[in-house]
Amino acid sequence: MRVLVVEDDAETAAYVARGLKEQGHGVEVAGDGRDGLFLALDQTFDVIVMDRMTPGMDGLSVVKSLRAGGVVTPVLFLTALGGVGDRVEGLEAGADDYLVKPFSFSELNARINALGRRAPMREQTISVLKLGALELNRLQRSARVGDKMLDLKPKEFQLLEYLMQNADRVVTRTMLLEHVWDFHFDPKTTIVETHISRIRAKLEACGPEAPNIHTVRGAGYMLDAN
Amino acid sequence: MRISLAIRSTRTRVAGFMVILFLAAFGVSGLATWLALTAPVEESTQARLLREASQVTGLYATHSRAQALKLIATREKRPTGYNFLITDPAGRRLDGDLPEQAFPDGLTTFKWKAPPLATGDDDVRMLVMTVRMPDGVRVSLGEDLERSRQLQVSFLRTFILTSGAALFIALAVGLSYVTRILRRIELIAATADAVSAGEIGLRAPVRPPERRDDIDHLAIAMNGMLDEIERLLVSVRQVSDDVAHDLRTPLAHLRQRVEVALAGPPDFDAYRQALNGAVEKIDDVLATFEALLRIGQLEAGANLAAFQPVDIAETARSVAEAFRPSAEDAGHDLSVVAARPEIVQGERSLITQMVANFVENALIHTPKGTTIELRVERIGPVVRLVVEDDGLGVTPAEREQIFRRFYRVDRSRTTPGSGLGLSLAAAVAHAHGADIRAEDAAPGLRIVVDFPAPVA
Repeated sequence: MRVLVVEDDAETAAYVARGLKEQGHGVEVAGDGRDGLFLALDQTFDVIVMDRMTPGMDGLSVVKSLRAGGVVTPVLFLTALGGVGDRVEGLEAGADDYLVKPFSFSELNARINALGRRAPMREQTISVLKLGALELNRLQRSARVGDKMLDLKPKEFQLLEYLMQNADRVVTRTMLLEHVWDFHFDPKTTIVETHISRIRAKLEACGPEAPNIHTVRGAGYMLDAN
Repeated sequence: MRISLAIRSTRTRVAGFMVILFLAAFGVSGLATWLALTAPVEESTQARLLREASQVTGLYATHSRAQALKLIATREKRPTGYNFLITDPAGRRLDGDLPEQAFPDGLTTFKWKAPPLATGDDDVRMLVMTVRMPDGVRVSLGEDLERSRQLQVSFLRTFILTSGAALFIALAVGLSYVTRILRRIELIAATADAVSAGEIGLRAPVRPPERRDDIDHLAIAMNGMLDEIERLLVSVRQVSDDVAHDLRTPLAHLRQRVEVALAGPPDFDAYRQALNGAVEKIDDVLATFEALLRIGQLEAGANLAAFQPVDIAETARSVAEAFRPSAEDAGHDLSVVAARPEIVQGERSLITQMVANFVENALIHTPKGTTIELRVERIGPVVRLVVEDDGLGVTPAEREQIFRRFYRVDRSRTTPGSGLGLSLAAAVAHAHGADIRAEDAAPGLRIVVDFPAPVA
């Protein structure tokens, strides 16, 4: 993927760029908002990582200008502002995701991958998701492995759906909390772990052809076709 | 209290203004009175005497002599009358207060030595008009030539005395009133100065409600502002105290851990383990920091998105649903009682976090087998959220404290948690204008949050 990083803090920009290159992405870095806007309009990117407060032109205005200019490239906001109002403001301006500094690189990477995959907007309209023997019917809200039906609670279904949309990609705990439960905070309780282990048990009960949910140490979870 | 320069200068200006105003007012009224007073005086003494003489002549002509003499005497003895003398044809006094003397007919001047009512022993200069009647009786009428001037002088003297006294009284009363008001304003200003200088607890004096005026309202408004500023200051100070206190400890641990790893023999695995541990510790510190910031922002009322309708019943159900598997695994029973949607104005993610914090708090701090119940109900003007458990509960003294930052009841010191969950929940409640309290559920703890119900 080609990723544009708009970040005025050189250290953060270098850290993000190096990590993304190691993951095999092409990276362009802009040091201020104006350069970022120019690059984003001039070239094609899969994801834009945008600092909220950049010199020249602030992140909010850049995103607004991009959207006004018809650029639909997914934008991930990086910000030191963690207030609830700030997140809502960022998303309303047209950003697709929001990450508060300081963040771990694995968190950023997982989110960039999720955003890059979402770009074609295909999954949103598909009514049946398939991964190996696992089939998820989004209209009937039902799931099965081969001919065995999975008995899933509503949240378990949502969780599995999200994992399938991001199959073969790492999904972090925070991403799951935000997308499945709409929790924008980090609970002390092992909500995610408990749900994952229940789904895992249900999948395993269907036999060895069911996909696995792997735990990726220090990063999150990944569903793969087995 | 010492009178400040500012008061003195304002008072001087007010006094000057009052004097000018007074002089102008008295000047106008004095001039008017003076004009009214001098108008008849202008008419000369001579003309008046001549007119009076013709009056007297008329009386004499229309009455019998005896009657006429009596009438004239009565007329001139009135307060407005003249000095007079009536003599028979032989020149003997018949009546009158002027000395017996043969005045020539017509007008003449006459120096009256030692007049009966004179003040001092000044002679009085008189103008005398004498008319001779057909039968030889003569009537002389006299007027003190200086009487009108004296009138004016006495008027002026009285006028200046009274207006001077009035001016003095008005100045004294007015200035003392103005000084009192200025002193009160000065007190308010002094309070503001003292607060600026650091005495944040000082407030301007306010009189009891039945005696309040505009200045008290000014003082009340300023005091209200100071209260708010103090509240914010205290909350900021509290945050920095908390940060200093509760972030320093884990940072110190982190430093020790890294130091120990560095001090040991070079070992890749040991380093890796130490770094992993360090990242975890840093994440804990960051989480605490984030929670503190959030509480601070909420308490300051900053960074809130616009409130929207939030169904608390729905929120309680979804939070319970999220935590139920964990609760079941831990042997807790988690249930929700919410008959119908209860809408309040709020920020959904914050309210969700608040409810989640209550549930987590109950899950972490109660023994296995505890029942946790969430209730949402409308009670009159409030939408009430109740989170109740039948666990060990807390003592009444602790109940007062559990919403404070970093407060942890004694037996929880060793359980995980930052001690910020409930204070963050309390900050969320306050940001929504909700009332939050902890009650004894006998046994267990009951947390009650009363949101203002939407106006129908």
